[in-house]
Amino acid sequence: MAEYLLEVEHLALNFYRHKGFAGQESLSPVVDLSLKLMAGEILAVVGSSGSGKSLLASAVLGILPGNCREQGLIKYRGQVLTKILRQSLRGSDIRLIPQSVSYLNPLYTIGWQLKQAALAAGVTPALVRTEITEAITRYELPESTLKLFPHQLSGGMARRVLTATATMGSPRLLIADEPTTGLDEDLITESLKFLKTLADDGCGILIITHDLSAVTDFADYVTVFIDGLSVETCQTETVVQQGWTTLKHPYSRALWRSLPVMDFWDGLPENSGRHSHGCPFASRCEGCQDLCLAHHPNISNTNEREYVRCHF
Amino acid sequence: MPSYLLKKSIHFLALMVAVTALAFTLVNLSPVDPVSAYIGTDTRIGLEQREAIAHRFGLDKSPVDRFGFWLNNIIHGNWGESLIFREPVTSVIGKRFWPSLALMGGAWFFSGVIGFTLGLAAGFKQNSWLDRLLSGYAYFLASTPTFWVGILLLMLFSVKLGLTPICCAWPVGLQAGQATLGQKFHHLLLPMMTLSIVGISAIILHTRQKVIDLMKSDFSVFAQAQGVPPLRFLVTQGLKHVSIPAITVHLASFGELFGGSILAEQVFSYPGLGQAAVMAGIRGDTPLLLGITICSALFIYFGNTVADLSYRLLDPRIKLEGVAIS
Repeated sequence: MAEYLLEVEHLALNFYRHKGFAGQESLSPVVDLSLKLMAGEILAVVGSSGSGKSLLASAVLGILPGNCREQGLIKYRGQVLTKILRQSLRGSDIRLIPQSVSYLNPLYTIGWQLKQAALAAGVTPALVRTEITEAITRYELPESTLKLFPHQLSGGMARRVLTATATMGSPRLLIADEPTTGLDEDLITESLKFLKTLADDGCGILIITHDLSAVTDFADYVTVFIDGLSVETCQTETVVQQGWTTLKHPYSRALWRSLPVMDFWDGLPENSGRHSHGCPFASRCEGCQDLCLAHHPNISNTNEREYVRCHF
Repeated sequence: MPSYLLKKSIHFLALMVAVTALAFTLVNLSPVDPVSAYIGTDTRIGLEQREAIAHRFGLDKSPVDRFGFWLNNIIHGNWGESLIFREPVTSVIGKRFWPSLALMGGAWFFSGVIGFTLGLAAGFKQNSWLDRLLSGYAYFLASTPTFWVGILLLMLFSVKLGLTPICCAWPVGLQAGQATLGQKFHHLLLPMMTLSIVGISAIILHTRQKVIDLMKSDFSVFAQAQGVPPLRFLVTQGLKHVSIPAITVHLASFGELFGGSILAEQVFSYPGLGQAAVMAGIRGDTPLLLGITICSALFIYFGNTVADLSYRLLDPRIKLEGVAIS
């Protein structure tokens, strides 16, 4: 059996907040999330904005806020990711490609930020300079970029710089948080091509996005995420070639079906709110039955990689 | 840069005209009668002589003419003669400027350094007992009058413990020139502490909030994701973010500092500008009062300008007009 680079099994995240004098309020943006990723692959976690999917990145990196309790299992190269292990891996083996230029320190130059990234990645100080030069050449950034401050970057340059920070040294797992948000068509393609190249070099890429249409050409697998639950993982190629009917969960069907390359279907009902029990899609599902409202469905595997979470 | 300087100069001139005009108007409206203030308690002077003095003072002219005449004199360096001290206003201010500067400068420096450090700690450990203690302390001090702190310190250090002198800027009976630097510092200590303690609260609260915002920022998250621990992030990358606004706020607090020094100097009988301002106000010494008003306006304007400049020079996101910082 091949070794997975990253395995997330039944991840649940609960936030606790004090309410009143003694009371406590809890919020569960992630209820049950499972995914698997091999080196050299791109996996896209697709979910609507505000569905809590960005917390996945924080969980893997071990930088969740203090009031968050984590349940479930995260494994990296077959090893359970403990707190200490996450600490030693983040910044070196596991990297975040942030969403926007606001993740760069506004008072320091790009050159400085790349240097910090390189040092964090474990590049020896003597080699930092070469590493930076390689990175800016790879992403066709002019040498003068290094003297610029983050606010002086154009959208395209910002994308390249953000990607460059994550490629210093030798990363194995890259987590790209919304790599397409706020970019035009050409830049989206460019941004994803960078990731594809990195995957071809042997990195595992986890893309967290709300934009399914952007990633269908690049991702090997897509995991559909709705209101804290991952409802289906499918091989992108199969769906693209054989159509949305190969999908099993009604939400992922609706999501794929609404893509321009598929039916451009606009029949997906508006979300009417969260439910504490049952399938998060129940209220919008045509085939909804009593069971769907009462219990949230368990995962049933189609094969080693693909699964669906539906009672029917 | 030249256009920036030009704009600043115009601002400065407009401000000075406004301050002098306002101060002059207020003094004109006040019940202080310059002739009576000049004569004092001498009752031998008759009505005719009073009128002659009023004529010599130019009091029979219109206020606008008098303002023009006065302003012209001010610009030419003739600030008039102080009625209390019987010497030129410029020399009174000159003598009292240095003790005041030592007092305010020292207080400014210590409240800045201590307040900034405590603010860093409070913000970094947000909601901890340390934070609660420091914030509570800062709120308490923010609502404490300067003179009251001064009196408390006097009671404790000078009366109870006998560690510090009870008044003045140098030992009683000596001239300014005869006192040693050590003696002067000894006398400066308590008023300076008073002003520092009061001035600290704004800088603690401001720095605390900036640190909280900083630690929540996207780039702090990214630094953490790169394996930089929070404290190291604060020290190596965050200080710049926190110190720029702190310096600005602290420079802009020159106004409160000057106001505080008036009260502190009064409590400690410290012979600075603040004490002179109070004396001039109470005893109707118009030339001195106006002179100190102009001085304080200059002082506060200087603080605000340096604050403005520091922001523009330290933060790469703000450019001086016409000058790109690269």
